[in-house]
Amino acid sequence: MKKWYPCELHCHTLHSDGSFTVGELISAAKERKLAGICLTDHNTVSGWEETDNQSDVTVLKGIEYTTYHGHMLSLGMNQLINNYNCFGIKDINYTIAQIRKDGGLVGIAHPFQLGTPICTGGHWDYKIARWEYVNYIEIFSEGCPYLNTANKKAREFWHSLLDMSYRIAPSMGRDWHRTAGNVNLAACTYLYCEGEELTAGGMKEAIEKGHTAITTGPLFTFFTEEGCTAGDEIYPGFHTLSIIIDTERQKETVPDQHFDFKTIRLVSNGGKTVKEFPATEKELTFIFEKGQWYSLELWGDIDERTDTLLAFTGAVYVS
Amino acid sequence: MNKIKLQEITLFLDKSDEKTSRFVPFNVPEGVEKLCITYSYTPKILENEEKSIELIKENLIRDAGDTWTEYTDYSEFMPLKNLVTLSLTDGGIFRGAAHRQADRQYHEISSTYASPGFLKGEIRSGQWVLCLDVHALVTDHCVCMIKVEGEVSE
Repeated sequence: MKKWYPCELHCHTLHSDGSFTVGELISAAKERKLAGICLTDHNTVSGWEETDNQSDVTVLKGIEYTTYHGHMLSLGMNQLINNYNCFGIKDINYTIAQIRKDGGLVGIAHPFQLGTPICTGGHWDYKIARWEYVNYIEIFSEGCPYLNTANKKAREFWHSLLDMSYRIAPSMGRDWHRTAGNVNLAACTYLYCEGEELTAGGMKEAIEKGHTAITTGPLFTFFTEEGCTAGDEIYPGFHTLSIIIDTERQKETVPDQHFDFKTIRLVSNGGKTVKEFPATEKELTFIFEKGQWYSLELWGDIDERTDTLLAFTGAVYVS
Repeated sequence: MNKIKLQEITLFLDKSDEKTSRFVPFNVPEGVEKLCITYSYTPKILENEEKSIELIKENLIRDAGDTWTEYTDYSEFMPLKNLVTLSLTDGGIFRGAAHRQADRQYHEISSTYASPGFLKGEIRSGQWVLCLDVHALVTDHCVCMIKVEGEVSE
């Protein structure tokens, strides 16, 4: 039995520049009804062992390689691939290959964030030699994704990689450093994982398979008639998608925040909307073309802000 | 416990050191049970407003592309800061890092305890290397002071 679990994939603690102790981060995650988090302190793994003796939240251990030319997330590796501080502008590809060889996942954090000196190394300037080694890209960064103009560029960039047939999962990362100053408390990445209880291995597998759904509030996802969802491959031709908009966690975590779900867009190659329909519809029947990718987007209002991208899914790929 | 000095050095950095790393090796003799690292650098912030605006504008044009003009309030990015962080290896093995803004830091590493960011474990004799990672250097010069001491049983 597989389920969608709300997770935060980008977290910091006192072990780097966060204000949280590891325990405080876990408590805050539990309070927000997150089932899982990724501990991704800047350039260290010293917080990992503090996550071992607790059962409040599932923790997938990772790191944010905070280099001079980009911030790279790595999750679920067996050993730390270090030398992060020696990454020259041409040196990232060897490390990416080492991480993947060791069984770790590679993600690119906030690729279009401002870089040095405003946010040191925050803008991704490396040239990736093998995009097939990159598992995920942070498309929604920070708690209020629609206010961050860099997220629009990240989404367009992700679309362009999908156009080139790379299968890369989108993620939402709050880049969580402290409790204070947070907005959009319900925003998270949902991961589609095996089992009644979430495990770190399940989180890792979901990201690797591209089973991600990104949101500012509701769980927004879909299944084909054969049970395929984001990250899966489907055959060309007619499919009927069952669309899910589940607001249970959103209502529990942000009861006073106003959401108005208006339209759903089916987006495909080139980032083009190939179908748009009211968010009240529960099904979509469509002819899916061979060689194309498709992602669903939920648009509407959040508080006073209109015509906003509220949630979107990872892509399905038509074989 | 007696403290012995293992390394004390002052490094002078300038703009050309930005996005490079400076390595500070030190030898740990037999019998050291705890390492104590005292580190500071100065200045931390760029006081010159005119130069700050110039650097922010340069940063925005480079990284924000066609949306750089949407940023109208540069004060949200000020003051600009130098960021020179520490990381540590022991015989090439990673022993932690302190990636944070503080310009005055003190860390301890022993077999039973390590300051946040560092990994506790055996203090092996041999060569260790502290690395200064120069993430941002916004002032003309920056002075970094490092002292490493080892605690040994009497």
